[in-house]
Amino acid sequence: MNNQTNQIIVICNSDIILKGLADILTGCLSDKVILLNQANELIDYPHLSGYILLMMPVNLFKENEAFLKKIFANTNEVKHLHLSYEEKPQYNNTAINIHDNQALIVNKVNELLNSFGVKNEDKTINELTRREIDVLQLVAKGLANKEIADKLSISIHTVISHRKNISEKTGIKSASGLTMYAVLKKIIDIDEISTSDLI
Amino acid sequence: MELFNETSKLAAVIHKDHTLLPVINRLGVKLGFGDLSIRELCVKEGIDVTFFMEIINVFHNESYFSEKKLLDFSVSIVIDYLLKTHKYYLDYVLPEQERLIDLFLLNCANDCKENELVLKFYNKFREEFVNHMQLEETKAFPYILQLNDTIQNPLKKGAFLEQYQNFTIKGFEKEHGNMDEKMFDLKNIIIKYLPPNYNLNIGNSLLSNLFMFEKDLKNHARIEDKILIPKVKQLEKIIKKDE
Repeated sequence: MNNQTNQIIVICNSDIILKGLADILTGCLSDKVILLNQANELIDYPHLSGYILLMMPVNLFKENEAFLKKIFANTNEVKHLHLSYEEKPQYNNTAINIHDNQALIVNKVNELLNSFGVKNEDKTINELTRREIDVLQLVAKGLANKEIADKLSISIHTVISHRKNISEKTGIKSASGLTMYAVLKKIIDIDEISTSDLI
Repeated sequence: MELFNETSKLAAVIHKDHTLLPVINRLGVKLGFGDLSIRELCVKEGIDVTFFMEIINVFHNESYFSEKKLLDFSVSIVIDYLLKTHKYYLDYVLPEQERLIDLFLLNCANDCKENELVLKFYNKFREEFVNHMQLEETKAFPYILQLNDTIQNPLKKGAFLEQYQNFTIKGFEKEHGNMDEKMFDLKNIIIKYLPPNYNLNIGNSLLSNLFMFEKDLKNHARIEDKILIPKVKQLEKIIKKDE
């Protein structure tokens, strides 16, 4: 899993199910859980980003498909886990049933959360590329995006996109945090920078 | 995810969520309150009970935010709370973090260059953070209080408009995200990347402190960005309308 935040959104008109799930989901690896009775309450969450695991009954999802698409426009990825109420369910890893036990629910949820941002079996997903290391070195030396672009003869747009990827992979967002990361990972030498200014 | 209400006993609330301890202190409550309910306690201490409820619920439950209700509070009550929060950061949280970081460095075995980065990073954060609070206290809050005062006493309007000709709250809006972002980075660096040549228990104390502080900072920023600033924008509109 990479370092973008992930959130679970549960939409269900039964408060009993919502509260029960909220309790179970405290055992999951999500950064935040949002509980709602109706899909349209999502209008109060205009800045959703990162990875979203959406849990709701499948019919409710179909009714609100267009609206949900709009709401999640700025997120990285949305995955669904349907809530089903059938009496004798068949095992299905894209749905949880109201009769599933706690461990099974937690497993299904965590499995989906862990799969966020992993495109394939590539284990090196969180390793920085050569170019990202070049950019990181210059960030750590205190250069602004524009200066980095000039130095590496790439567009400022590309620099910004590299920086976004670096932050996603390392989990470090601020420039001073990245400097510290670069030193700890020996990407730059501590004596190369004036740490009193940069960190 | 429960919400507390006025009839809840405060002792039960604290047992449920002890991270509220500094919050209730800031709201004017000290421990030793026996079995009093929140309402009884607020009446006794002369605290606005609705404000008390909103603040502890916002703090306890991250997805809870009744912005409409919160916009009903006067700016002076909100600013008073924010000032107390600043004081708590300055008088307690920052010195405590410094103490823990000193201990953290003390136990490092031989080559401490890397651990000392933590100190440098922290000092830089602290400097920015203190500046940020000072700017709010010396520029933004006085402006807001005077704006509020002017709305209640229209006679003062001329003087107010003259003093704050080109000043609006907009300029103060950005910065917040920055602060909790840096706290998050510091935590993540210690958790993921810093070689563990320090006393583990002290490392854990430091991290717990940072986790709690980050949560507090986030809520603090939420109250400023979601309540205070929208409120001030409302007031600015009223002043402009009368012109």
